[in-house]
Amino acid sequence: MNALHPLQNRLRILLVRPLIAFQLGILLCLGVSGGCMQVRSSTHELEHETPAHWPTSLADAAEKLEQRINSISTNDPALNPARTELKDIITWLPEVAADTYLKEDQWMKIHAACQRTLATDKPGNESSVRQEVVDLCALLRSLQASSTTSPWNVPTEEHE
Amino acid sequence: MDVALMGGAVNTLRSLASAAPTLLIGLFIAALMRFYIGPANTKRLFGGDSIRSLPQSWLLGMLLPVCSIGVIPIIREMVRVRARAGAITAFALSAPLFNPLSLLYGLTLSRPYVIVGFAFGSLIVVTLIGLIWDRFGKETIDPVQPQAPGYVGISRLWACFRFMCRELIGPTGQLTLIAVLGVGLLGAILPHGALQTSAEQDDPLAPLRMTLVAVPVYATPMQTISQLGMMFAHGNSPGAAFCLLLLGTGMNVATLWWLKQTYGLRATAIWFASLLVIVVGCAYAIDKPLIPPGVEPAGHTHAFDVYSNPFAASVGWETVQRVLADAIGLPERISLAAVVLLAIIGLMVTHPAVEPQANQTTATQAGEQASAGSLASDQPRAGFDRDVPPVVVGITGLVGLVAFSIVACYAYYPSPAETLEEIKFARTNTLVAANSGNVEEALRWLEVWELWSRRLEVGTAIRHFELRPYQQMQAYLLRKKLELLEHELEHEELEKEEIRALVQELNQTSNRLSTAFRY
Repeated sequence: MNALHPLQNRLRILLVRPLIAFQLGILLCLGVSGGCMQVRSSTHELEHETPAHWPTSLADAAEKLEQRINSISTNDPALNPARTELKDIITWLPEVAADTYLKEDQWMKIHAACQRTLATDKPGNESSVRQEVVDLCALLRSLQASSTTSPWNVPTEEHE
Repeated sequence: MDVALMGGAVNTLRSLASAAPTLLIGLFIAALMRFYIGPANTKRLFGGDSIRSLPQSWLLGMLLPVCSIGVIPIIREMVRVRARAGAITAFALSAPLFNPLSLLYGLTLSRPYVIVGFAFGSLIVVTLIGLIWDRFGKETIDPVQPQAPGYVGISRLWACFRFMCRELIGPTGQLTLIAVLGVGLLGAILPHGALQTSAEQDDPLAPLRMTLVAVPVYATPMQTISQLGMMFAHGNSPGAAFCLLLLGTGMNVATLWWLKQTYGLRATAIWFASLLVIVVGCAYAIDKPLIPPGVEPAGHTHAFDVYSNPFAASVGWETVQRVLADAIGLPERISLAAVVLLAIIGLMVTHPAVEPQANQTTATQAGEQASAGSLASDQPRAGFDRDVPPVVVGITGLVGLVAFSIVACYAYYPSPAETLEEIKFARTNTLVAANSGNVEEALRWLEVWELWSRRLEVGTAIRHFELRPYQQMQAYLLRKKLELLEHELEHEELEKEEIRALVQELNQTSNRLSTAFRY
């Protein structure tokens, strides 16, 4: 038995320590994949894309919503991208509205209307959704003027 | 200068600096346990041998501000007092995940229930792992019997200090180096920006790929929570974010090394395999349900830029200095200096000429008496000079740490009025630098501005107990535009018109943000 000890020790050194081997394996995998990865000259060379149906203003949002609500003919989102896009626009609307000169209480009306419309958007609720979208469009048009009027004389100047 | 070598060295140093504050806290807590709370009470603190030891250890871990390196001296002390094996692993995994500061920060990142869900998800993971570990986690080396001398007063404080120094140049210090070297290796191996497209929402391999990266990673709770924020903002895979949280923040290479040394290879392999299966399983379970609505996937993320090589091409010493200066803040520098000082003192106090071995043995006796409440001093006391049982001092120390965390929250997240002043300063510097084409300066201040916008949200929430949707939306919009400006500034050829337009937009958004948060 004693004669085997050096061999056993050798085997232990070679075969066990899989933990270390595992760790080195991970680093190797990362190394290989890292080597294959593209080296970027800058960490911000990948750009953010703006979707084509992103609304540029409240009036634009109302127009885009109306176009899509009128073109929906089926409930299957795969068959009808208008339905998916309609939902996208309603989800984005609070952000679009927040990026205008609307006051907080006016913005809250849009936020609440969007929440309500999204909550209504369930199978079998098509007529309610249509009505909510129509109301939302009316709200957007009524707030369009306020959204483009700066409360500050010069919009780019510091307001403090 | 060799890019791989320099990238690895910078990442190692950066990690060491970010670990320094919580390493000191971890050493302090371990000293409190040894010299004040005592073995029996320490074991009781972590729930003893009962089943509640797992959630209790998880909760304690959530409250104590330590990272996966700062937790090392504490778990070593837990083994020493023969705490339940499952409780040790539950604490080791959960303590680095969240602390009060990072949890509050996390609530500004996504829908709050996602972060709370992550916190409770971690409870499930640590409980399952703890139950498995209770079965397999038997120490292969005998823990040192609880010993500590019956010091009183100044001599006990000196003993605590000496213990911290010794740990630093002993096992805790070694394990710290192992942990930060893991991050250094990643930095040397992964090219600049190599992980930007590795955690996409529609990529089924994202959680698995993140698992590979997260194992050698060391990250502080604040670092991870900001990475989670970036992942949510870019619409990345929530499952990958969960893997990063549990495996990147919860453990590091040193955790595995310590487990292997303490419990043996077989038990560690079982523990690690169970952890991987549970974490990856949970990650795939939550991957689709937790996709944030309304967030357009950006197709990339900057969350892991910090783990890849910070340099794209050969760099000079000045660039290295700038990267390090930007990454290592004042608190980290002070803590790092304190760690170095403690290590030097540690080398001196363990030197045989200063403290012979025999003295060490004497100095590590009679701890049971001290921790059990009996005191070494027989001298009569009068007035306010009273002997206070060590356990009272120890528990006061721990409660003090929790109280300190709460005070730190209010200090780190100032009132909205103060924060708005800081934002004004950062905004001016960013926009002036951007307009004048000073890219480095603009990028530096842009990060400061972004951080203050998050602190504005938390500072408002913890003072006014509300954060209105409009306020949240304005803060989100500001950060989104800041990132667009960051992209513009990183172009090789600056497009001045684009930058000017973004500067104008940022001015307006910042005005709206100020109005929204003015009380």
